[in-house]
Amino acid sequence: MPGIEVSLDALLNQLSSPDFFEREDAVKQLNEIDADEATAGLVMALEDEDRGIRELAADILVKQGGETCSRLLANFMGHHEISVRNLAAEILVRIGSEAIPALIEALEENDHDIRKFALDVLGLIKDSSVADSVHKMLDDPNENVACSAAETLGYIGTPKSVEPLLTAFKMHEFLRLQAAEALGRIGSPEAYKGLREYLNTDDPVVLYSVIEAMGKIGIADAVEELLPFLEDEREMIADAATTAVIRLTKSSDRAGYAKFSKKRLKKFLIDSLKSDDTSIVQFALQELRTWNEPGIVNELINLILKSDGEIIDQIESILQSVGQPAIEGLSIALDDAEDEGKIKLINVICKCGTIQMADQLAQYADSENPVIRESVASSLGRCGTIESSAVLRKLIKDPIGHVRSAAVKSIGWLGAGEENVDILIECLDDDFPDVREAAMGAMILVGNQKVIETFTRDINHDNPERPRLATIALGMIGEEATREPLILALSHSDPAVRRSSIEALVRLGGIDDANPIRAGLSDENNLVRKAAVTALVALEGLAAIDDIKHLLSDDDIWVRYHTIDSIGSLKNPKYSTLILPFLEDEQDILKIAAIKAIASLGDQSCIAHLRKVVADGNKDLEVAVEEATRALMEADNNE
Amino acid sequence: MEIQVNEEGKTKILSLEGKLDLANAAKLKESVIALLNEGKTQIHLNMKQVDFINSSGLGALVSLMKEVRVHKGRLTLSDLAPYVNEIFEITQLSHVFEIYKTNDEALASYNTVMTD
Repeated sequence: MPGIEVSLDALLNQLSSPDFFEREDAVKQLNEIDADEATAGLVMALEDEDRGIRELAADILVKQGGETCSRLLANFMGHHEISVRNLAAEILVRIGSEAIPALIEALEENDHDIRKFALDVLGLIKDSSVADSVHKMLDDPNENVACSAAETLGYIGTPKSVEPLLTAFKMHEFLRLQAAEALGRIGSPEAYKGLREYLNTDDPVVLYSVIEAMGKIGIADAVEELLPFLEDEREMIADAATTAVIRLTKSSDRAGYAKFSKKRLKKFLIDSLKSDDTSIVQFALQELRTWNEPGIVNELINLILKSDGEIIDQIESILQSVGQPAIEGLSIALDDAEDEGKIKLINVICKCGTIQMADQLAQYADSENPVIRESVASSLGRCGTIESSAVLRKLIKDPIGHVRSAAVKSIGWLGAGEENVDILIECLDDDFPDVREAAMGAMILVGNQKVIETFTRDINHDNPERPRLATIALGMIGEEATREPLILALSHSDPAVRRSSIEALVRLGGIDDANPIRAGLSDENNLVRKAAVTALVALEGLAAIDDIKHLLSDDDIWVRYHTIDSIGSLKNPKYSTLILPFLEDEQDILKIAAIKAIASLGDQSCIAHLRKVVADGNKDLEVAVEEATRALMEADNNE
Repeated sequence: MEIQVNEEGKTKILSLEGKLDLANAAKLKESVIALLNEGKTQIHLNMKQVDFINSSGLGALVSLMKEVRVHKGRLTLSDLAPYVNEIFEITQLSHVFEIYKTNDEALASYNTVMTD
């Protein structure tokens, strides 16, 4: 249509505009036009000087996919600019299998770069249907292309490539490395049989790649054939053999290790700690775990400085088993390390360290770096002693909240709170919330009379946060002396305080007079009423029924739900009559509560009622009925 | 409080049942210290049946952890009831103790960490 042609030409011209927004607009509009020329324009936009426009065009092309788009992109793989070539290849990979026909065509191109790129992309798409086309490329006149073909076959990983790869390995010396690696990736018994013939080669590079591939293929018989290479004079070969044998035996037969000289295995494991491959580092650590040898300490400590997370955890446990030499090594490393390393080492030391180490850690309490001060504060709580509390008291005055918080926690962990209660009480007024929470935690651990008196006073504190925390704290202290303040808190104006005190009193047990809790059943707050129901059932069992049954008609649905559930927990069939009406409740949630309660009460005569429950397609209801019926029938059979 | 002692490999498993409060804290400490004195330094406490713990109970656990450390051993906990877990969170003791969800997870950790 002429209108579109005009518009398309204009848009294609707009792609050369000096104005970014005009070019961006052109790309967006080209996306709206269903024509090959528009797609070609989008491919041209991959040359745009602006990265944003290139990425916009790339995303659109990936969504478009298809034959024309792929063919145009395949041509671009011969582009003079490497960044454009790479972008075209990346888009083709993202397009995936739809791009395959264009890529196969590209294998016939005169430009060897295009052939090589097409192979690389096919390797990343990993579609085994292209294997036959790639096999032919192993004989490409250009060595780089042939090597890429071998690599691609390794990524595709189909066993039918083994024979062509072995032939190419035999015929073309230049691609032996890539072919061996590909055979290792494919990992079939045929690949193993073919490669083992080359174990007698004089070429160390080929031998290295063959040994490495045999390790990856994973045929256990290879261990015997590789053993002679473990002590090879050429270090590269001996290391490859060690890696291969470990790889072959680690998942099955550990006897393979017995064939290693200890010296070689140790060297290999320590070298492996420096690997960039996390799985190799973790494997080496797993092995070193059983060595318990001071000689590995320095390597492990160096590894801490460049590692994180799980690897550090593994190192910690090894250092713990090494004992004193590890502590000495950590001590020296701590003084020499940069700040970031110090923080890591301090965290390790607090798990492996001793009292002497705590003294050394204390020296860093004056560090200018607040993260180090925080680590010191935290670590002293783990590996320090009561004497460390002097340093911690100082850190409690630190200007940084995180440091103060760590110091307060540590005072609690050290059991040093008793001597520091006044300081902890002051921390309840700290500006930093973490410090206030840490102080509460530390005071719970102390739990003495002074702490109880403080929290008792806090029940009437003006700051609304304090009575809530005080009631929770008194509940967790859980000593007899907390009973009286908790009973007082039952009449607090804040419902959260009333609820916490009910829960705490029930846990404390030994309540002779449940009347103060019974009052909670008529509390204005639904959460308090719920807590009171649970509490009375826990305290009085069946005797609570008369008090709580009126809450089955409470205004609040969750109080009704909770009361049904609590009656169910009494497991007495005679109360099923209280629950049965809820099987017809208009609220499905109450129906479900009733079904579960009836199952729990164990009244088999209710099975017929359960079967009458109208589920109206509610899956949860259907499941609840099914489970309850089954439970009641099983109980009946057992009787 | 009932304390049942079992053994798996080198690890002593103490299954606790009841309240871990002032009255029972001493009993637990005695049991663990006796094991440490016998050279049993890998100790796991299964807390599945502990429905209540208070300051005294927490204090006992903190002091046991130190004792185990002095003996270069290891103390683990597992199966904390929701409320007990909440107390460990509020007191931040969850950052100090090695706590596992289940008994099996705790025992598996002894199989992978060698402490002798």
